[in-house]
Amino acid sequence: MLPFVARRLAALVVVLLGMSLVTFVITNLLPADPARVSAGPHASNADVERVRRELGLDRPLYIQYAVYVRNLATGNLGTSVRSRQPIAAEIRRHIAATVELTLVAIVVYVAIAVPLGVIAAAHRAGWVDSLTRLGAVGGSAVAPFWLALLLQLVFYRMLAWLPAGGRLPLDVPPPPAVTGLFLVDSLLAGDLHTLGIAARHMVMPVTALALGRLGLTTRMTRAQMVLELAQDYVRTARAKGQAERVVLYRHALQNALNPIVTMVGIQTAYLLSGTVLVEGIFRWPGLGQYALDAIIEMDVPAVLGVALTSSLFFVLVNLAVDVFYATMDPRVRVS
Amino acid sequence: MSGRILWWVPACLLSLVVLVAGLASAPSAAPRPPQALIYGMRLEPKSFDPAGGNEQYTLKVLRSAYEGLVQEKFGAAQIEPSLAESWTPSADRSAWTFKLRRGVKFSDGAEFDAEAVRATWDRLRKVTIGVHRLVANTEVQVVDRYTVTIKLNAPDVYFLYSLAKVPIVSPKAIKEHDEGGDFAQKWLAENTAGTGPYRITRWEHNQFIQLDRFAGYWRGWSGRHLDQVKIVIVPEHATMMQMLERLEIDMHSNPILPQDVERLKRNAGLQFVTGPASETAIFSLNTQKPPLDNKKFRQGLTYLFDYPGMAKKVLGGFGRVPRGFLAPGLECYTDRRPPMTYDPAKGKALIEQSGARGATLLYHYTAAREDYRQAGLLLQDALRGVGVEMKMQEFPFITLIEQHKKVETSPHMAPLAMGAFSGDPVYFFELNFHSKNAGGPYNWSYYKNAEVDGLLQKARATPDRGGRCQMLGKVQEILVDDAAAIYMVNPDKVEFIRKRVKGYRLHPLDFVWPVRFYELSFEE
Repeated sequence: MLPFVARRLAALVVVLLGMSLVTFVITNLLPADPARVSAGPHASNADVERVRRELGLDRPLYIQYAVYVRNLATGNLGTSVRSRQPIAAEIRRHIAATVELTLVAIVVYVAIAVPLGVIAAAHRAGWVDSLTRLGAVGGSAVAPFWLALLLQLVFYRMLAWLPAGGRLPLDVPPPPAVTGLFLVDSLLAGDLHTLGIAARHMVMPVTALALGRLGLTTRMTRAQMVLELAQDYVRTARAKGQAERVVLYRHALQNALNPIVTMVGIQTAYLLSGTVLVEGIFRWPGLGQYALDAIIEMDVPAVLGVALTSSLFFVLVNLAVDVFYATMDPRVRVS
Repeated sequence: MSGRILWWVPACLLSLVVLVAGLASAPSAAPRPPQALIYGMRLEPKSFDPAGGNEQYTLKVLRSAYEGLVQEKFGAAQIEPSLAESWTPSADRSAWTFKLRRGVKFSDGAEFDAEAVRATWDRLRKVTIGVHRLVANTEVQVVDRYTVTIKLNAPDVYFLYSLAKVPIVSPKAIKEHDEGGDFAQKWLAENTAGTGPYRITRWEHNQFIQLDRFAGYWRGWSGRHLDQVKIVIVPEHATMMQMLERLEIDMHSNPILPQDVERLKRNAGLQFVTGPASETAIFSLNTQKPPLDNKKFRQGLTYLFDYPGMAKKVLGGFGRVPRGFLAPGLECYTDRRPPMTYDPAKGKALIEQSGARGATLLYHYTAAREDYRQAGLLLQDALRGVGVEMKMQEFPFITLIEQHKKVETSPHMAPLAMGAFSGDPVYFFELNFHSKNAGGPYNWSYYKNAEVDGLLQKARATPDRGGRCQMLGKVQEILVDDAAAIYMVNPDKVEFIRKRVKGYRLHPLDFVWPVRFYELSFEE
C-alpha cells in the first residue's frame, strides 16, 4: 500500500505542475492588468508602469513562470496584488471555514442519502422510493445559491429563526484556535454554548449545500443496491436465514459501495472548491468568498493560488478514494 | 421489518436539525454592546494603509482614524481647518504656510507636530500607492515645531482640496513598525496610527472590522458619540438588503436600486436620505475612432439621448439633466447654462449632415450596472431611428480600463460615473478631458484640445475666483460644443439608514457614501 501512495503522491507533483502551467497561462490571458489592479483604478499610466517593475511583471512570461514555480516549491504562492500580503497566508486564513462547512455538509448528506437509497431499494415502488425519485429530480434542479436565498428569506427574514450568516455573531469571540473548525474547537474547549451558536450558523449553509446533492446520491445508492440485491450471494445469504439488516448492510451495501464512494469523493472535492456563491450569501468567510473577491478585483496571483489549492483538493480527494477502494474492496488490487 | 430499523439514521439527523433549529428560535444569548454602530460593506479592503486611501471601502476606516492638515466641510465642497488651525498662501499660490494645532496626540501616543507632517511626506515619497500623486510635486519645509510651509512646483489655487486627502501618520509608528525599509507598510495595512477619533481594535478577516474610540482624541468625547463601529462584510446584495430591513445593520455602502425605494420607505425602522451628489455620469465618445472623429456625428448623438428619460425612468426620478460635464456643487458650477437637450429631429439632421449614416457603434458597459445597460438601450433605440446600429456588450470595469489603453482596442462608447473625489473642479475636468490623460484614467474620449488644456492650467493658477470661473465656464462650453462625451445625468444620492442613527449628513465629495463616524450618535 505504501509504495502505491508514494507513487500517487509523486504523480501529484506532476499534476500540480501541469495545473500551475495551465492556470498561469490562462490567468495571464485575462484582459486584466495586475499592475493596474495593484496601483488602483485612479493611478496614472506612469504609476502603473512603476508598479509593474516593482512586482516583476515587466519580465518575460516564461521567467515569471519560472520564478513562480521556484517559489511554489517552498510553499510560496506569491503576493496578492491588492493587499501585497503573502497569498499562502491569506488562503490559510480562509481554508478552515470552507473545510468545516464542507465536511459537515458531506456528513449530513451521506448520512441521509445512503440509508434512504438502501430503503428505497429494499422497498421498490414504495412511498420512500417515490419520494426519493421526486427529491432527486427536484434536488438536482435547484441551484444551491437559489436555495440559499430562499432559506434566508424564510428562516431569517420572515421567521427570524436563524441568523442571516457569518460563523458566529459579532459579539461572540471564536473558540481558541486549534483546528480552525469552530465546532471542533469549541468542543475541545468544552464551550457548549459557542458550539450551539456555531451549529446554528451552519444550519442554512449546510442545508443549501447538502439538499441539492441528496437526490443524486440517493438514486445512485438505490440503483446499485437494486443490482446487488438481484445477485446470487444475496439469495444465498437470505436462504441461510440472515437478518435482512445484515443482508442489506453487510452484504449488499458493501458491494455496492464503490461507485457511491467515487460519487461522494467527487462531491467533496466539488464542494471544497465550489461553495463560492453560498459562502457569499451567508457571509461565510471561506475560500469561496476569498476567490470571489479575488476574481471581482482581478487579483490574478490570488486567483492562481486558489485554483492551485482547489486542484490540490481534487487530487487529494481522488487519492483518498483510491486508497479507500484498495483497503475496503478486496477485488481492487493495488498495482 | 428491516425498513423500520433503517430509519434511525435519517431520523436522528432530522431530530438533530430540529433541535438546533429549536435552539435557534430562542432569543440571542448575548446582547449587543451599547452604542455600537453596525456598518455593512460589500468588499473587505485588503489594506488600510493611509497612503493608499483612494477607494471607497478603505476610506470608511481611514476618514475616522486619520486626519489631514485641513478637511472637507461635511456636506459641501468647502475646506475647513483640521490639524492645521490656519494657513496663509503665497501671492501666487505656490507656497502654503500652515500653523499647526498644539496638544494633538496620535492614537499610539506620539505627539503631532511639524516633524509628523514631514515624516508623512517622506513616507509618501516611498509608498506610492494612492494619494501620493496629489502631493507628488510638493515639498515640506519645517519652519518651527508648529509651523510648516509646503512648496509646490507650480501655483495651485485648489491645493487645499488635495491636502485634505492626505492622512497624517504617526512618525513613531512609521519608525517602530518598519520592516526592512517598508515604512511600516505591512503593519499599517492592518493597524491604524492617526489622530482621528477611532482606531482599529479588531479585524476578523472577511467577517468584520472593529473600531473603538481613541480616548485621547483632541476634539474630545463630551457630547454624544458612538462607542464603537463594527464594519461587517456582506458580499451578497440580497443579504445586505435583508439585514437592513431586519434592522440588523445601521448603515451600508450598497447602491439602492430604484425599484427598492418604495418598499424600503414603508419600513418604519429606516430613514430615507436623499440629495444631490457631485457626480456626472457620461458616455465617453471616442473622438479618434470613426465615425466619432466627426464632430457633427458626435453632436447628433448628444441630441439623440433621452436625458429626461434617463433621470426619470432609469433612475426612478433620482437624477437631474446635466448642464454639461462639471458636476453640481463644485466651484464655478452655474445653473445659468442650459440643460442638455433631447431633440431627436435635430440629432437626426446632424447625423445626416455628418454623412456617417449606416455606421455601427460599439458600446461596452460595466458589468452588473443595470442603469448603464438601460441607458444604452435608450440610445440604441434612438439610433435605430436614424439608421445607426449600436452593439452593446458587458465587461468588468477593470477590463474596460484595459480596453481603453489603446484606440484600436477601445470601443466607441463606454459609461463612466464621474463622482467628485475632491472639490477641485480643474482636477474634475482634467481626469476626463485633459490630453495628458488620453486613454488613461479616464479620458476615454481620447479628447485632445490644446485650448482646453491651456485654460485648465491657467485657471489653476488664477487666484481671482471670478477670473477662473470664466475660464472654467469656457471649458464647459467647449466640451459641450465639441460633444466630447454625452453628459447623461447628474445622479442623486439615495440611501436608507436605520432611524436610530442621528447626525448623518450627505457629503457630495470623496466618492460614494462618505461617512465620519465621530459625527454620528444614536437617538435616546
